[in-house]
Amino acid sequence: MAKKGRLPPDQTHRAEPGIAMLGATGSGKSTFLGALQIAFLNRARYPGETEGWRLWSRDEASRAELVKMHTALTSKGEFPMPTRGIDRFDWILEGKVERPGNGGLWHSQTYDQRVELTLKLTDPTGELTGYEQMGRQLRGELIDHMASSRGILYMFDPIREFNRGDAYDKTYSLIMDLMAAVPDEQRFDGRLPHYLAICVTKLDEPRVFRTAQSLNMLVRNDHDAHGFPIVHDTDARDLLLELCKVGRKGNTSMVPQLLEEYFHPDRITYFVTSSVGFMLNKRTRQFDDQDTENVYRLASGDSLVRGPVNPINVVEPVLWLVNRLALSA
Amino acid sequence: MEEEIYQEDAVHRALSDEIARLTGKRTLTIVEFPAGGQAVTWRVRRDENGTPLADRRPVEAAVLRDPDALYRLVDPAFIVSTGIVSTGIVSTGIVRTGDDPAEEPPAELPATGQVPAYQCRTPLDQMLREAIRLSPLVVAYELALLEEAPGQQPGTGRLELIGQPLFPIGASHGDKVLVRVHVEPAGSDETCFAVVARDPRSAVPPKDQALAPVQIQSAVVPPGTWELTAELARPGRVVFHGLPVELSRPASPSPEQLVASWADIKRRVPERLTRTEPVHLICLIEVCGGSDLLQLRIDRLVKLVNAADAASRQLAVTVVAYGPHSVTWAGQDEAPSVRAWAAPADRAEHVLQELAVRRPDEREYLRAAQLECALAWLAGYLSDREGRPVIVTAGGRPPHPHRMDPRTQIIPCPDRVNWRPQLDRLVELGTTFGVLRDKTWQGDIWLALGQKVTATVDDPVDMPDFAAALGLHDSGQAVPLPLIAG
Repeated sequence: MAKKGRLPPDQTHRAEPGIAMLGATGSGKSTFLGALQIAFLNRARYPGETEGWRLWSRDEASRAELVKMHTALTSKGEFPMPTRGIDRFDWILEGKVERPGNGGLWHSQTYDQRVELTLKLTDPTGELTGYEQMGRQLRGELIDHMASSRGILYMFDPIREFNRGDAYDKTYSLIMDLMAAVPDEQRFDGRLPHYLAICVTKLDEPRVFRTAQSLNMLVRNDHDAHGFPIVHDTDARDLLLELCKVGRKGNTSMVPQLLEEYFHPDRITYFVTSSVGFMLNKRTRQFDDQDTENVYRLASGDSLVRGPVNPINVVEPVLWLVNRLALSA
Repeated sequence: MEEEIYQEDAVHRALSDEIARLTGKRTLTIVEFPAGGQAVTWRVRRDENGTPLADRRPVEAAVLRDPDALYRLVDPAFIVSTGIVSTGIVSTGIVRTGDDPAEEPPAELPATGQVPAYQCRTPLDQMLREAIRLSPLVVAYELALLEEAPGQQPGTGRLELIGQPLFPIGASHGDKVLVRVHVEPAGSDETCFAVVARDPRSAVPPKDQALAPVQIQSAVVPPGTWELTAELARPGRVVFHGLPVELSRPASPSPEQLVASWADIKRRVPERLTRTEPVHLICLIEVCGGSDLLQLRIDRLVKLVNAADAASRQLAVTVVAYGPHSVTWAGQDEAPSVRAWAAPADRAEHVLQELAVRRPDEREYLRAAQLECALAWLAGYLSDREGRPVIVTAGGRPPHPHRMDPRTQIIPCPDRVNWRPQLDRLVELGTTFGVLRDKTWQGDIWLALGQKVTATVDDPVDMPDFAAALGLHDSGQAVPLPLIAG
């Protein structure tokens, strides 16, 4: 563990190239973004968390969207509307990152640096990940955004894979386009240079939850007062592989292979997430492993959140990307 | 002038007096000379029950030509003879009728001696009919009923034939009396309403006399207790008001046929009444799924309650309404609602109809309903005190599971109730189950609940058959007469 020193001279504002989101329609990209603010607020309540992260925006449209998404989830139990094109949010994430010393007085020491990162989050509609359903112009925009981003949040929806099984086809076509777009960059060395946070979503869904439970991957989150379990990042990849076995078309198992082949494996981390978190038992105010799903569907086809939103592993992939981007800047 | 010629009033008085004096086998004989027609002899007598009856036959021309022969051969017991006013050979017992009796040729009229003669325009059959209609009863009328003689235990007594007094001697046209009867479930068999009488001159005490039939009517009458008004139309004719069905028109059988019918009815009276057991019908009704579907369920259950009520002497009905659990923090979870407990059928029907006004919740959970909790509540409270339990469930959604079910993904019951043990407890209680399920029913529970009988709510349902399959319809015993109402 490196020693921590006092703060260096003011280096507070860093504009990051941005983080793109990838995932099929209904994989929960917009909900993930909507839950991000809640997740940061919840994290601030963790014991020992001396200073949290703050999410805000100077851009009026991005700020309005942030408030809208947050209010829909927390007050109405409603989910953000699925993205219709490409939404870009200029959000500012303010907090501290731990940085290594750079010799001299700071040699062999680390120090906390206060940073204000501009998160250029790109949330494309899931349809854009399919090659045939989209216009070429929008598809080109998406590829450009991804190519210029340095981090990617890849949302893998195991339920969609069970029902439709189109993750491999869509991911493959995107990667092919991305490979074609990136080589001009200096950082291309035969693999895509992005940091990739692969998020296995919907842990609260009974089939995903039971799978994790059957593999003994669920551990209690000691920071959480409600007893919500998590799947540790070290088990996340194995859970993904297990869930891939029940993909509808049989090619889902090739998704992690595809990603690990075209991205640098040491720039990939797996997370198991749930944007709305587990259902909290209204009577006991505790997690109940017999009633985990925090979502239900209405006659209109819309979905609603059943109880309080307690995101699981929503902050972690973002902060992981932020730290990696900060370190490599 | 006309008042002196036409004498209907006098004829009516004479007929009334003579009919009132008719007893035993005496016959009142009247000869009528109708305008432009052949002379006829009317004979009035009383039958075995004291009912005046009249018949007529033509008078032979040879007899008419010889007045002595007329008196000798016709031989009226009380002479109301014939005659024509204008001829001067009129006898006081001869009635000349027609629009213009004076115009009739008098040649054939016999000399009448002391027989009174009247001149009328009204045909004699009309005057006779009216006189008989208004004549008072000479025997008392009773309604044949069955009474259960006291037994050692309820329902073990013998059935006895009794007569419920209707009209006493002297009663006449238009008299009315109220009478309450109870009609047993008889399936498609008819219940007979028999007016009977006893011989007032018999040396045998009335209570020991056999009841003689006066009038027999019948119909398939819904079971239950009915309050009737019996109205005396005329001797031999009683009209009953107050039944939900119309009784057959009384035929005019021969006395032999009437006696034979009465004997057949008495033969069909069972020795004892096989009482239908008390039944407790519990209607479980799912109130979600939209107003149209809910109305279908209500309609079917109302028909079932009516069918059960018509078929069972002792029916108590409970109505339990249930919907989905509230699966959100924002919603208020409501337990199954007991709208009526062991209530009469009409009350149950009323509360069922009230359910139709329920407004669906746009945010309600769609995939299940709290059927498991409704069964748990019943398993906790139901006993056989109110009768043999029969549970009929109308709905279609599956229950909430007692724990997370990744297969169905239905949100579990917040009370973690498992429907299977609840059903087992109700089965141990001797409960009979039936279902009126939606077309889109889901879940094994509908198979388990429909073990005895199943129907789909949006298909036509033969409700008497449905009720019979649940043991709600006792069609094994036909009781041909009503019972005296308690």
